[in-house]
Amino acid sequence: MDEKRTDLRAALRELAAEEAAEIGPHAGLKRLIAYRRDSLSVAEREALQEHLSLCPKCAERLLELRDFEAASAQGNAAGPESFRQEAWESLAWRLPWKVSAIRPIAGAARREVARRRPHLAYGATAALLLAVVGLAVWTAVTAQQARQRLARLEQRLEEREEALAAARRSLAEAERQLTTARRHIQDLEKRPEQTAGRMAALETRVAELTSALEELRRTPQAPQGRDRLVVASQIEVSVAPRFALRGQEDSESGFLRGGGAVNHVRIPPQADRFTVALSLADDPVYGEYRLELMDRDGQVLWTGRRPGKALLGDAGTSVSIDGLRPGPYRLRIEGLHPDRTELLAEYVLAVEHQEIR
Amino acid sequence: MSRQGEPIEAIFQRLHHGPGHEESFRILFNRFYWPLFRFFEHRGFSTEECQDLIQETFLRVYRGIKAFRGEARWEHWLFRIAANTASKAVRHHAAARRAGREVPLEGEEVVDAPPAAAGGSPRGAEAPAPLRQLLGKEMREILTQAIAGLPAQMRRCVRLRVFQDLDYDEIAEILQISPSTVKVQLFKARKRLQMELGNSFEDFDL
Repeated sequence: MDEKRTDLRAALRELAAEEAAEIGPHAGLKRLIAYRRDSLSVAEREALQEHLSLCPKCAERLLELRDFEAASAQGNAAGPESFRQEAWESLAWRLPWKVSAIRPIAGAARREVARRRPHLAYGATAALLLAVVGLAVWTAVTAQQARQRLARLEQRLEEREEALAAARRSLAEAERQLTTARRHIQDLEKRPEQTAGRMAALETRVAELTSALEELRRTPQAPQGRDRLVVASQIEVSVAPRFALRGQEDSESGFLRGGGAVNHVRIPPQADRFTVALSLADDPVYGEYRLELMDRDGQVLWTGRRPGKALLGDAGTSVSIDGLRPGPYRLRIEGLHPDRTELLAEYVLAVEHQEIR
Repeated sequence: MSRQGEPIEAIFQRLHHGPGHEESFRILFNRFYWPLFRFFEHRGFSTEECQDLIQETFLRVYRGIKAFRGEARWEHWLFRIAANTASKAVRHHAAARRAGREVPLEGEEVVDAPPAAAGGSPRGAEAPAPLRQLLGKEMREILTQAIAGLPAQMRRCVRLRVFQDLDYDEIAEILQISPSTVKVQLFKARKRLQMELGNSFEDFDL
């Protein structure tokens, strides 16, 4: 059963390696190129394919040739132009045509000297002159080449500097983003504490309000002070039902405010009749409501009952009192159950004369 | 350059006969600079070495261009010069520097040394010695018969895949068939080998 575990791939590699040791010499570039050109006979082609299957080096050469053909067909592969430029500069300097302007001149001078031996002195002078001229030309060419090379190097330097500056800019941007991210992380790390603090404050406030609520439930009577109004706990906590005081120009007094707040009601100076239009801001929870208007001493000036649905929305009821004078009043609202009466709210109304313009 | 896209033959015509010798050579250089760069780079040479080798290659091209009559494709001629330049450079460099690289140490034309002696596979091939320890005589016999029984193309696909770790496209290039044919051949080979060797081997994933 041990042989069952023999890995086929490993075994095939072993076998191929053994066969590869016996396949003979490499194929050679000529054969590989001929294979690429499809100019081998069938037998040669078969033999080469067999060789390639066992010879990684020849297979690699063939793939190199394929890659080179593809790259050549595509034209200029992308790369820094300065590389190519620099290579060309160096190559051009080594190519024969660069000195072709000098060599023929020197050769001509030698031939001239040989042919016109009687004028050796002139010839020698001419040769020397030509040599000097040649040297000058060569020097000029050299200087020009050096200048060109220097210009190329400067261009490369400039390219590198630009690339370096771009990299630095990217780095600076990355650092800035990193700093921002760190700050965000710190904020996030702080946030749980802030949230916990806020929650603790809210819990404290809820506890205080709950305590006040309980206190108010125990003493649901009218306030002690003149301007202070103790409002039924249900109003404060649930904010329902809320009563709106219509006819007020001040948007802030669109709803009657409880909690001892003074609701200013402005009437014309000559008016002796005051109408408070009341409507429930929320759905009525009581079948019937009782409304009482009292003066500052708690004396009931007016009282009336209204069914809950009659107080809803714009179809609310109105309280009309004759002979109402400026001054503080209290409006009490009670919800009536069949078996009990519940104080819902008491509002402080400050009736004032409207200014005449 | 306006002449950048013109046919190579036209450039050669000017190089041989017409005026603008230097300009034509420059066009040739520009066009084949990067293919040559990638070639030398693939052989493991540094950027500076690539630059030198490209120059050396084009110097050889310049010297031999009069003799080039167009019997071969220009790219192939250039490739041979480049390959020989690379081989020559390897011979002249310190052997230790690229001891671990896949750079031939044989002559300019890769003709003499057998692959096993020249350094083995660039990728997946393994030396025979440790493998002999894996396969027993009987197992080797069974495997040899099974492989020999495969059709030639299928057998070559298996070797190139398993022995040389080549992908489908590379195998297709080498055997001059389509990648889908390679895939089918390997699938069939797997089935056949599994059927024949299922009692003795495992892991038939090719």
